Amino acid sequence: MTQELLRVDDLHTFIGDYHILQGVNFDMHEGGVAALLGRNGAGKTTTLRSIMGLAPPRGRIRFDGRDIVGLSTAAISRLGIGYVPETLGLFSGLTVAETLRLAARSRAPDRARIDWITSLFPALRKFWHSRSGNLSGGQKQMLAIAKALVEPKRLILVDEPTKGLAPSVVAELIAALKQLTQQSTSILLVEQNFHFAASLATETTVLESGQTTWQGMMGDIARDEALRRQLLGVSVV
Amino acid sequence: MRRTFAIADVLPIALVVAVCVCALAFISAPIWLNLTIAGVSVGLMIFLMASGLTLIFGLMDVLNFAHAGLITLAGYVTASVYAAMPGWVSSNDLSTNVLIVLAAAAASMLVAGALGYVIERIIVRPVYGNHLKQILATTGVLIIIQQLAIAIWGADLLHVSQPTELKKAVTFGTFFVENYRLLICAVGLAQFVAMIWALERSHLGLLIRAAVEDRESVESMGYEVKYLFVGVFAAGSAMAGLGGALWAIYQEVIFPEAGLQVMIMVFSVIIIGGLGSVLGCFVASILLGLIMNYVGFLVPSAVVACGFLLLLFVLVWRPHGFYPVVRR
Ligand SMILES: Nc1ncnc2c1ncn2[C@@H]1O[C@H](COP(=O)(O)OP(=O)(O)OP(=O)(O)O)[C@@H](O)[C@H]1O
Ligand SMILES: [Mg+2]
Repeated sequence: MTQELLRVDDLHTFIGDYHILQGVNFDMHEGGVAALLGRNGAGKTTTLRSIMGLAPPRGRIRFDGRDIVGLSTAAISRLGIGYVPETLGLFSGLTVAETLRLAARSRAPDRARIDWITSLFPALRKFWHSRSGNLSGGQKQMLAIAKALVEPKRLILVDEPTKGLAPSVVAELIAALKQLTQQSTSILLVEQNFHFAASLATETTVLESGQTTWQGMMGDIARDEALRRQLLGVSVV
Repeated sequence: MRRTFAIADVLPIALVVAVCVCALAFISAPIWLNLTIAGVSVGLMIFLMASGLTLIFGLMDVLNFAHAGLITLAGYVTASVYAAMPGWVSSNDLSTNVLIVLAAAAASMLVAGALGYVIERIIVRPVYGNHLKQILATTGVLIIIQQLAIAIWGADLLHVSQPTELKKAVTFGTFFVENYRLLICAVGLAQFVAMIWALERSHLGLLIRAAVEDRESVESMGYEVKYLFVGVFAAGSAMAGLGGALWAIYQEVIFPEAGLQVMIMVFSVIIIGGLGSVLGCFVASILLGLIMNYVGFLVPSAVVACGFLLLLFVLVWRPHGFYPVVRR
């Protein structure tokens, strides 16, 4: 396969006095989609926050051959990692245009790149001057992803993007994320919707109680229902 | 940040004009003209003291009572600069007079800006997002600054006179305006233009608003919010220093509660102007300056009340103020 992009090694994260992550390990390759699965409360969101430096971790995180533990969130972002949190991280008073201009960190963002992003998410073009607080749930999700992409990224971390979206919007999202990987942006995806994850990801890591319990190819877990049930529980179809 | 043009955006300016025209009905034209020019200069003086807090309170949402302390401190720094260069104030040379004012202003900005940097790092950084703690912590700083000023400069009033030539007025027939007021107008306008330019051009205003709403998200986009906040806080504090220095010279006196006395005016114009809006703060300051001057001429005892009435009227008319950038 291609080159290793991200390696997470024996990650431990404390929030206050709570030992939330207790040994998370996985790696992912350049150009792919990796899924991070697990039951509610398994530590998926905390893992993404640890990578971004928002929940300071102990252990090793190598991104593109470089140790990023201890760097500021902003510095990690500038290395080429985008983050789309579960809560989306939008600014209710700012318009779509203002949000993207801010995310581009430039007064005059690259036209071609904006055009490419709005071709991925046509709704954004339509609501260009609307405040993001007034967008629908699906539009907000698209803006949140677009915001993470305006600056070219090597990797984006996406936390449960399908939550609360209608099936047609989910299909749109799959198409957009697929296009993204063709533009050499890798994706680390946290997802409860197994079908969604399975249709995008090749590599998979399963977490349970803050630890890696399984790592392998998506095909293996997609084919083996017993394994899936054992790792993810019956609640995940 | 471009806004579409709307009637509502012109109304506050129309209100300023309407106030001027109304006053003309009660006051004879030559006096009215002098009052109007004086009112504009008072307004710009208020703007100079308030503009820094527009950033710190309006945009960053920090209820910063230490601002009053910085205004006071600037007055004392000015007194010390005066004491160090005594001949410059009494000199009959206009440029020497202007230089001493600028030197006092520069020293005050430096001291207030540096102190603002320290205040943000030590006092304010742990209390972002918590108004009650902000009030307690920054009021503590205010008291410390006042006590420190008393310890260094004494509790008595200090005289900070306007330099000789600046005290003189330019006259055209019955119309006259003091040179010092002209200086205030020039500095106030320059400050206004500089702030609009900085906030619009660099998108600083947008960035600050975003960082106040969701700090982690702004950091995830690659911005070091820590440095952004301390920088804005120090800049806003330096502006308090500039305003405080010019205010002390305008009043020709400095005392420990000087800054506290103007805080009601300062908070009023920020709220009337709309939180975070430099234009709003500017228009509101001039409106307040004009009204204070007209009312002060017609019914001197009502000057204090008119500020409150204006605040009340505007908040009923426009609950978010003239040009709110932030709605809270
Ligand atoms: N701020 C916090 N304080 C205390 N405990 C926390 C905090 N944040 C997360 N946790 C705990 O850490 C564990 C992992 O949380 P995390 O949000 O990473 O799970 P998750 O896998 O993303 O779950 P979900 O699928 O529900 O989003 C949970 O047990 C949660 O209760
Ligand atoms: Mg989660």
